[in-house]
Amino acid sequence: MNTNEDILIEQYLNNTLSIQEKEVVEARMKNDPTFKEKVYFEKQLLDTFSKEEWSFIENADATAVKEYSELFKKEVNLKQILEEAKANYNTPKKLNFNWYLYASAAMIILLIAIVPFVNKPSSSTELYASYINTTELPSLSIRGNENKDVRTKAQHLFEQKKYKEALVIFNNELDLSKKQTATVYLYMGIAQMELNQFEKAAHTFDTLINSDLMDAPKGNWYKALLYLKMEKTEDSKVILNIISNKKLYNNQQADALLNELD
Amino acid sequence: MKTLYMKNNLYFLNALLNGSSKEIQELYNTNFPKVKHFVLQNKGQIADAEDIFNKALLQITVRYRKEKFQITSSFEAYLFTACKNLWRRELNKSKIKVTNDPFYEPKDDNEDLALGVLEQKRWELFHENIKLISDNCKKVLNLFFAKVSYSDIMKEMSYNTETVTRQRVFRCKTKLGELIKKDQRYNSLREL
Repeated sequence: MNTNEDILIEQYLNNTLSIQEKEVVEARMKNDPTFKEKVYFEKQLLDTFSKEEWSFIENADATAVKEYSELFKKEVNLKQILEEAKANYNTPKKLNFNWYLYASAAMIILLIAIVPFVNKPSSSTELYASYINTTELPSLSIRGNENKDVRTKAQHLFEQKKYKEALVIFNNELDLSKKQTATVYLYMGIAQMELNQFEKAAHTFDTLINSDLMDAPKGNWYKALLYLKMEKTEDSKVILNIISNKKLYNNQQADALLNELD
Repeated sequence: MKTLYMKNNLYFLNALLNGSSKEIQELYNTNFPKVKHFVLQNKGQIADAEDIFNKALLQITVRYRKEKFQITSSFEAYLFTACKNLWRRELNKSKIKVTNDPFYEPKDDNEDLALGVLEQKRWELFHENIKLISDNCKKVLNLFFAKVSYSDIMKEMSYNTETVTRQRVFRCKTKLGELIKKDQRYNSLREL
């Protein structure tokens, strides 16, 4: 292959050829297997090394597909076990007090007892990722609230994880020197936390905790998560213990988290 | 370090082969949070994360059962890469393919999983071989594959002209292609 052919293939794959040029390339692919393989290979390279794409097998070797497919079919037992593992993983956090919770709790205790050497504790950032749950947050835009449009816009950006943009709206469109609702502080703090703006996040949660708002205790839970994200496990535990002892917001989750941190 | 990994990896691989619930639960509890976070950060829902996590473990099991392949990193790191790839695969499924050839349509989930394995194997083949080329070529190709324009690659690499840049990209790509095609695994994964 020479560079001219390379440029042609590149343009074909980038879709920058005219319809006529494209037809010429496709006709050549039909009649020239070597050229066709070059096009395929170039596409595989581009898709494999791109961070967003995926290189699909477009014309698979039917024997290999059949072989693997048969093997997957036979894994009935493992598929069942994986479904159970998924259910057990989810159950304790939902805190449904039924036998399933006790069964999985017993199993976790058993696991901890039996495999102390291989049961590595999760890192604090991983725990953060599994405990942060933004879907639990109340809606920002409640009817009758001031600045309803601004809030809707901010919430929308937040849900799309566009935290930077959401914070721009909070900072520019709300008068933060005045007291805001608890939800605003939570959204702001979490956005700052997700962006690793740790000091700002701590300040926001502190403002909430020290306010006289009904939902002020929620700030404690998120501040505990903030410390977890900062890998300050000991500081996180101090707050979690307060939540647990005073039976504040999310105290059952705090207990579960304390167990995982120990 | 590798021996250390191997012992740990065998522990999990055998647990998967034998369907040992306890160890599989441990795998779930330790590794799922990270995968969940990744999927949620990348346009997915919790159900998507659960789905690809299970698919990745199935994929590893079937491959290990069939060909006892070697995992050279830690099991956890390998599992995370497998999950990331499966998620990228899901996200790209809807895209229209470029070539006009008949597309291999999987008949059911098992066939789709089978295609996933073959694609993952090819992904590994390509990624292992790019490590073998010179650092300079790696840098050029990383820019090229990240869709950086020739003029920007020229500036970044301090080449004199765009023609020189194109030639460098071309040469490095050819070198990489040769390495991949020389690899004995390539023959079973090539498509004609």
